Amino acid sequence: MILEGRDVTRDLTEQVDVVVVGSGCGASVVGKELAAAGLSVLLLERGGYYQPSRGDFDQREDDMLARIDGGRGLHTTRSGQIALTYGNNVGGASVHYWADTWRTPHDRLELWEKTYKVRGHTAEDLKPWFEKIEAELNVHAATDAMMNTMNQLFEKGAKTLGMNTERVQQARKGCIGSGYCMQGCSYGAKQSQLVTGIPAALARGARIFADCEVDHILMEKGRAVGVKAHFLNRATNQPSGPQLTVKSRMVIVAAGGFNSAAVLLRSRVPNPSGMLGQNLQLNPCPTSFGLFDQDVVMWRGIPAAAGVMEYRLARYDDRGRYQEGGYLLHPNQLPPAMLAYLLPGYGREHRRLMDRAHQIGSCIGWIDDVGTGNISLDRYGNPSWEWRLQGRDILQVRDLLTKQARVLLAAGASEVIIPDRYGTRIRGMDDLAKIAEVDIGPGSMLFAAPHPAGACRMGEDPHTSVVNSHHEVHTVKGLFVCDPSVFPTAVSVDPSETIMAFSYVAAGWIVNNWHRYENN
Amino acid sequence: MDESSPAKSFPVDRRGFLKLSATTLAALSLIAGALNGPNPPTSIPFKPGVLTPAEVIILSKLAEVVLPTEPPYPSVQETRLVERVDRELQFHTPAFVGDVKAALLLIEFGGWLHGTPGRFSHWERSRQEVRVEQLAHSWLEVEKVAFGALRGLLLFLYYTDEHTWAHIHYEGPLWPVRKLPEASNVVES
Repeated sequence: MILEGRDVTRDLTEQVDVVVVGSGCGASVVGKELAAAGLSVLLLERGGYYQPSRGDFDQREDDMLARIDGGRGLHTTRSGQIALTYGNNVGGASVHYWADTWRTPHDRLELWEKTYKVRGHTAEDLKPWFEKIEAELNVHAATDAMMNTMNQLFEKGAKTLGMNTERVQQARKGCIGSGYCMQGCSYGAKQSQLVTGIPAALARGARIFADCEVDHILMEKGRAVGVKAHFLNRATNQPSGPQLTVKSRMVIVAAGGFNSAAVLLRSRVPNPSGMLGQNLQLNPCPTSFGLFDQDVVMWRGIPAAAGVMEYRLARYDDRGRYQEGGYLLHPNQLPPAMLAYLLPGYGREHRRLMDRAHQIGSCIGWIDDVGTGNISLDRYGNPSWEWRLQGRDILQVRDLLTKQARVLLAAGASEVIIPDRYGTRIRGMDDLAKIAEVDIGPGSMLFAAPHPAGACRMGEDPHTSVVNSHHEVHTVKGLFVCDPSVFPTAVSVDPSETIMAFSYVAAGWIVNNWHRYENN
Repeated sequence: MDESSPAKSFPVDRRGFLKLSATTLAALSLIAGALNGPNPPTSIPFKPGVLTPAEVIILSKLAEVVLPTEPPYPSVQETRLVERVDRELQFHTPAFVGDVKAALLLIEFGGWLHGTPGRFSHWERSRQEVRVEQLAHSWLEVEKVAFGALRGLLLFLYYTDEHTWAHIHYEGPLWPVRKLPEASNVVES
């Protein structure tokens, strides 16, 4: 059963075994697994409930950004340089993600085990969950039919330069290549949690309240005993009046990497380590654009069907100086209004570019950031995010922009446009040196950030972590976090499969140890 | 190479500085304006819910510089762009709205910081273009950020208007029916 805010006219009280805050990759996995184990489970989702069958995904950029993107697509870090990309709907960020699906790289799991003392999440531990997830989501390598013009140009350019290209694994079934992945799939083909995990959770008896924002976690004598929430009027994005009190034996916070820490902070969860809200990483995404003499029509087909993974790990010389890498490299996909937003300039210069929107291609990459930021609360109790580009991350950005420009030129672009405030033009390989001097600071270059991690990080040492290896907050019994907040660092690839695998581990532990919470 | 930001040298954070500078500049300009006589009358085509009439005018003038308003492209007025921005702001937090208002104030009065006092919305077009160029490449990070954010929002909303699509070779959504969501940027006619 899904209850939407517009159907709630009075205060409600619920008593359940488990209340889950959120409804994305982490929440849907724990929701369905715990419901399957016979527990009463209630998921609370701040965003709305949208269905392809109801025609809710109309493919219009303004409508869908307002519906399914957190902050209606307008949230940034305090400097204004990083545009936060997260979900605000049943199904979470998986509804707008690109369907690219990656197992956690072994080196990342080894790092987390050795440096951060994460237990029970080795490659061997997660392998059966990866196999299960990939079967559930129909994960398969992108086929030739999925390769739109931009993907083909990318492959051509990268191969010309001697780069190793690979087809990216995709979570799709019956995809028609409409090009509206970021606006939510109108056809139910992208295997988001909205069409996979959520229906599975509901079928096993879980319930969902949409348009329901959690105010804080209820705690008694060091234990989580429920949450207080309020319902929202979807038409105004304001409280509609009715309040919700949920009493439960367990609280699982799965509100996403940009928000779970804020829920815990707002709830005044004891934080003796000082780690809550700290260590935020977010994979900023530099992009660059290529002007071609042929139609590219970047907004059709699927995004990132191909990619270059060989630069995922940064490389250093014998003296430890950065040489290159620390990112993934992909063809980009942007619908027209978002393209306009990201192209540099304004006025007639910008219009001349938009006149040729159908001939513009783009590359994107995810920086595996080293620097960290934090999540705090503003005076209204809302999350505030701080993250600054600095140190090695700056070098990675410049190197990635250079690689992107090289790929676009090798693919046949007559010129490459770097989206700094000057719209620096690269017209040949001889121009690449300009990228070293491009202003990439706030107000000049904007980066999207889709993959937050770290703000409730996992580890066995309560002095340096927020949750233990079975996802329970060190300082509050019965309070769990099941989303990318628990990752000690960014994953370096899209984190969706990692989130789900970790959440399967968490759910398994909870089911096997439920007797510890039965009398909570 | 570690590039430090000029904003790090300021004792207040970006939001605080934005509001402080904008307010100070507004006070200076109002004093100057009082010496120059009353403001010229202007009218606005809709009743705003969040922005003041003065803010609507500032944003409209900014939009006319940022966007391609010559035919055959639709104008700022034809796309009801500022009305849509005003409506969008109704869904956001007080802090966010405050940032937007402070940014508009900075745009309007920030010429002082560059030796060109006066009110942006009262200038002729050529002078407004100079001011926008100042904003885009300002020595002050907060001005660049404020302008960049408004530039992006205006461009995004402008190109979601279907009257722009033929000019950019975009045939529009494949989905046959537009379902007006309860919370959206659409301004119903």
